[in-house]
Amino acid sequence: MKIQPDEISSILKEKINSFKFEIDIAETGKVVQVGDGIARVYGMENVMAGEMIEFPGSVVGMALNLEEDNVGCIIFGETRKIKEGDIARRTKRILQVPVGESLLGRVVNSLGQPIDGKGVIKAKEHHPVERKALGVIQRQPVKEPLQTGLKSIDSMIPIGRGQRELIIGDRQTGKTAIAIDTIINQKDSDVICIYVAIGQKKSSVAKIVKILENYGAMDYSIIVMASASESASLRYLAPYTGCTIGEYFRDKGEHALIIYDDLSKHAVSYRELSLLLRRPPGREAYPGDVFYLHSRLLERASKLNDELGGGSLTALPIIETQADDITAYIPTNVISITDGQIYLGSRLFYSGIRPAINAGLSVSRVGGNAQIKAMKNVTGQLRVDLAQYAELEAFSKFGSDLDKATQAQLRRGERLMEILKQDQYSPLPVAKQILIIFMANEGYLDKIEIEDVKKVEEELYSTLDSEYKEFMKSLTKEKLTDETKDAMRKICEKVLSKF
Amino acid sequence: MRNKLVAQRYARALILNIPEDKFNSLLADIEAMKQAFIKDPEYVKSINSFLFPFRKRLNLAKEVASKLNNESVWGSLFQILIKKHRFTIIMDVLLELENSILESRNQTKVSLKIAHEHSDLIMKDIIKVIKNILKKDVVLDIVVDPEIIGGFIAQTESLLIDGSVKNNLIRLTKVRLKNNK
Repeated sequence: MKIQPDEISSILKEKINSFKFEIDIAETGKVVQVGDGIARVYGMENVMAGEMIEFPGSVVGMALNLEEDNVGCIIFGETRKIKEGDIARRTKRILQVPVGESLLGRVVNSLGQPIDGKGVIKAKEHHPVERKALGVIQRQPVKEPLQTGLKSIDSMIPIGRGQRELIIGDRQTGKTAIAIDTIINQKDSDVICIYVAIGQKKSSVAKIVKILENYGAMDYSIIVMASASESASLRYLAPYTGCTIGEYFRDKGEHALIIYDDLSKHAVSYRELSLLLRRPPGREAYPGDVFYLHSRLLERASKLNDELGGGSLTALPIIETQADDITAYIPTNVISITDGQIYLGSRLFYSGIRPAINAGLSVSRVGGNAQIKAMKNVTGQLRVDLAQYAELEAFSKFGSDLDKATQAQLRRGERLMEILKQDQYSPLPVAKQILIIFMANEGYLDKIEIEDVKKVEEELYSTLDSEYKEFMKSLTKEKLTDETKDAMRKICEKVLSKF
Repeated sequence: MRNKLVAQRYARALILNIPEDKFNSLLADIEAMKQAFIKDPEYVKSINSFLFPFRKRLNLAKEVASKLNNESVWGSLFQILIKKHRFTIIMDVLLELENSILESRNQTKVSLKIAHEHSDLIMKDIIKVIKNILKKDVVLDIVVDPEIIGGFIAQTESLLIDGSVKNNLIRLTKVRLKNNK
C-alpha cells in the first residue's frame, strides 16, 4: 500500500483544525516530603481517598492518608523522579486499570501495564481498582462446582464457583502447586483464571508462566505480578488489580477464578506502607485495618444472581504460616473471612503424602452444595474412614496385638491415603476421581499390596479412557443409582482381574 | 509540615490583633523582610543559633524591627520566636500572613508564567481569564519562560491554570496516540 504525502498532510490538517485550544485547571499541592515509596503533599484540600495523583515525570500515586495538614500518597513508580517542592496534581479519578479479553494470555503489573514484551494491551475498558463488594440482593448461593482436578480436594473439600477457599500452610508444602493444578484443570471448562503473584521472586513467576504455557493454560489465564523487587505500594495494589480484572468477566456472566499468592506478603506490604505513613501500629505492628484490607478484597468474590447473568468470581487466597502456626494474626483473620480452608501440613508433605492436605483441619463451608451428586455419594464415608484411620494409626504404634477389625480399618485407611496421593500437574477428571474413590470405599483395594495400588489406579484410568468414555460422561451428570453402582463394580472387578 | 501549621497559627494571631488600616504597611514590611532574608539567609540561622548570646540576638532582632513600619508588632513577634527557638519559621509566617491579608481582601497571589513580554492589552485579557476562573482579584508575580512556547501558566497555592501552547501540544500528541491505538 502506497501512502501519499498529501493524504497525510490533509489528515494532520484536519486533526489540527478540529483540535480545540483548552485551558487545563487542576487542583495542586506541593510535595513536602518524598521517600520509601511515599510522598507527603501539602494542599489539595478537596482530594478524595484513593484518588490518583499525578507527579512530575509521569509518575502516578494514590492518596491514602488524608490528614489535617497534608495528604499521604503512595507512589507507583520511581520516587527518584520526584523532588521536594514539586507540584502534585489532582486527577479527580480513582485509580483505574485496563480490563477485558485483551489481557488473556498476558503478564501485567499492578497498574495493568504489560511486562511480558508482547506489545501494548488494547483494552477497551478501564475499571476502578477499589470497588465496593456486591450486596446480598445481587448474589445467590454457591451451587456450581469448580473442579480442581485434585482427588483430595474435589472429594472432601469441594469448592463452588463464587466461593472463597483459603489455601494455608508452611513454606514448601505445595500451596502454589494446588493453585497451578487448579488453573491447568480449567482447560476444557469455561473458567478464566487470574493468578496474582505478590512479593514473589521473578524467577518463580517466570517458571509458573512457562508451566502454564506448556499445559496450554495461558490462553485462558492472566498473570498480575508485583514481585519482591517492586515497591510496597505496587505489592499492595496487585490483588485489587487482579480482582478488578476478574470482576469484569464475572459481571459479563462468565466464570473467573482468582488466586492471590500470597496474602501474607500482601499484609506485610500494607504494614510497610502504613508504618511509613505513620499510622498507629497494632498487633504484630500491623495497622488496625488489616482485617478490612483482606475482607474488602475477598468479599468481592461472589456468585451473581441469574438476573445479573449468573457469573462468578471464585477466590483462592494463599497464606503462608510459620512453623505450622495457623493461630497467628493474619492466618486467623483470613480463615474467618473465607468459606473454608485447605490446610497443608509440612509433616504430611515430608512423609510423602502429596498434596499434603490435612483432612482434619481442612473444611469447605459452602462447597458441599456445589459438589456433584455422584461424588457426594461416594465420599460420604471417606472423611469418617480417614479420621478413624488417623486415630487408629497413632494408637497402633503403642502395640502390635490388634484385633482383625482394627487391622482391617488400618488397611483400608492406608489404601485411602495412597489413592489420595497425586502427582503435580496431573489434574484428574471428576469421573475418574469418583471411580477410584468408589473402588477404595468398596474394599476392592484392601487385598492389593500398598505398593501396587498406584498400578491398579493407572490400569483403572487407562481402562476408563479406552472403554468407558460414555459411561464417564453420564457419571458426572446424575446421582448414583443401583444400576450405576453395579456398572462401577463391574469395572472395578475387570481392572482387578489383571492383578 | 509542622512549621507550616505553627506559622499559620502565628499569622492568624497577628491578623486578629492588627487593625485593617495597617495592612498596607504590613505588606510593605513583609516584602522588605522577604527580600532581606532571601538575600541573607545566614541572618535567620544566626539569630536562632545558641552560639550567640540570647541578649545579643534579641537586640539584633530589635534593631531590624526598628527599621520597619510596624516596629512594635514585629519586635514582639521576633522576641517570641527567639525565646521559643523558632525563628527559622519566620519566612513561613511572613508568607502565611501575606496570604491571610490578601484573603481578607478577596485577593490571591498568582505566579504567572508567560513565554515572552506581552502588550498591556494582552496582559489585561490574561488577567481577566484568571480572575474569572479564581473569582478573586489577583496579585501577580510574572516570570518569563520561553519554554512554554506561548500562552500562560498561572499557579496559585492550590490551583494550576495551564493555558500554555506547550501543554496543548502535549495534549494534541496524546489525542493522536489514542486515536492511533
